[in-house]
Amino acid sequence: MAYPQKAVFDAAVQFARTEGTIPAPETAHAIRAVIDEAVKARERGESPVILFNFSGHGLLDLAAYDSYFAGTMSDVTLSEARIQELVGAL
Amino acid sequence: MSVHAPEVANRIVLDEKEMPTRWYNIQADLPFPGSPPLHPATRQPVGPQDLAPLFPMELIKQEVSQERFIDIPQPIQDALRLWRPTPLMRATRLERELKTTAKIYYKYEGGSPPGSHKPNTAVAQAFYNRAEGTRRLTTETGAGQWGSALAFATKLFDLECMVYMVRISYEQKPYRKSMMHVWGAEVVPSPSDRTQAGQRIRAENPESTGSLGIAISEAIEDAAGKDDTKYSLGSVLNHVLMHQTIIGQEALTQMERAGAMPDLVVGCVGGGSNFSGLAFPFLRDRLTGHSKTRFLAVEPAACQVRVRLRGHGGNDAVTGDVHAGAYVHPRRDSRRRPALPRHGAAGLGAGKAWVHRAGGVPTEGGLRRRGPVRPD
Repeated sequence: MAYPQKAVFDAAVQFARTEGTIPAPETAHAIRAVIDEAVKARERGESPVILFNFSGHGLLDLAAYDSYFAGTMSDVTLSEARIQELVGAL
Repeated sequence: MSVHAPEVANRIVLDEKEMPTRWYNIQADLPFPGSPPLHPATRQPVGPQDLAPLFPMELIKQEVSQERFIDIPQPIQDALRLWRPTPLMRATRLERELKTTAKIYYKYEGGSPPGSHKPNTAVAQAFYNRAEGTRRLTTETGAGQWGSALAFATKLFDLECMVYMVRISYEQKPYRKSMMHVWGAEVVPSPSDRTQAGQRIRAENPESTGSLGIAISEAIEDAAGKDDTKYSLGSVLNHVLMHQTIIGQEALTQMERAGAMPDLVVGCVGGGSNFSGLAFPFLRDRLTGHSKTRFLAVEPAACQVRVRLRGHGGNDAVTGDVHAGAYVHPRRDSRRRPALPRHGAAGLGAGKAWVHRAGGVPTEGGLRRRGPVRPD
């Protein structure tokens, strides 16, 4: 799975506001996926056991949270053509 | 006053004595051989003699070992017990908010002194270097998670530590740099004037804000040129991933104790070490037909190309310094230094329908298709 930044921080903040611990941005990527899987499970009426690695806390990454709340965080999206162009430049 | 137990255990803890005493080496159980790293000059597989200037022999042996389990030396166990075993948590409040029928568990690695899983391998690497006479270790860091882990570990084993920190992070994220200073490491912004690689970049572009690729080049150049100095990498390599399997081994015991074996194991990936560390012991059960667990690796949508282009500039807090993956480049990094192994978590499981990644940490296969791959 690959997620854009804002969706990742949505998940990070939801986690922090329920479970308490503020995740590192890296960890928040896993949390995004877990939340999506958990919602899918509800919709399908399934009860899977999901395990994820909370790899680090985010107490030294608060500037990124500030940026998220300030609305200055932007998602980078790249077209396949642009990717090929950039990789070709290597 | 009555004391009542919660309906479900929120926190499953292990006794200190239950910490695993060996690492699990997934190389022994892979149904397909991992692709060996290629020497950038000769294009031939890299041998121990090529790695010897950079790594102590014991780590090189681990890198190519096919032994299923490798004992953890006592001094490393003693260091790990400063914060291990780590708790397994049930995220019941999140489950309630999501009104989900799923059970969500997480292994909490944020309680180590530097605040992440990274010291699991940093203490091991520092120990082996010390045992083989290294006096000083160099490394690179982006946002600083790895640099702070190695600064902590080298202090435990009485080594000097030199960290090349991506310049933009050095300027914008001062507190991990401060942590490294507390543990006695020297930290310089990269590109620096300490190395030819750094000088060259600065000559070309005095305003360069750096990249993980450049910082790696500086750290390697620093180590390769000195007898008493070696280099340390926080992800990607087999031995690094193996050191992280202590996470998954503990989690296996804890999930058994919770009576809930996972249907799905999730982790974020850059260089792959935290995902691999949790997943490999569960993957072993899957590989040997003892479970049907699925695995999901997650990464930033924007990272792949950025990694390829500039080794992740580190100016983007979202991706932090998970991108030791910068080095999983098919041909060269930004300074054309020797390529390190191309597999690690990135290559593992490729082609296996139950190990999903998308966006693609770059591997030797060239640019992988981006975009979500749906599990099953």
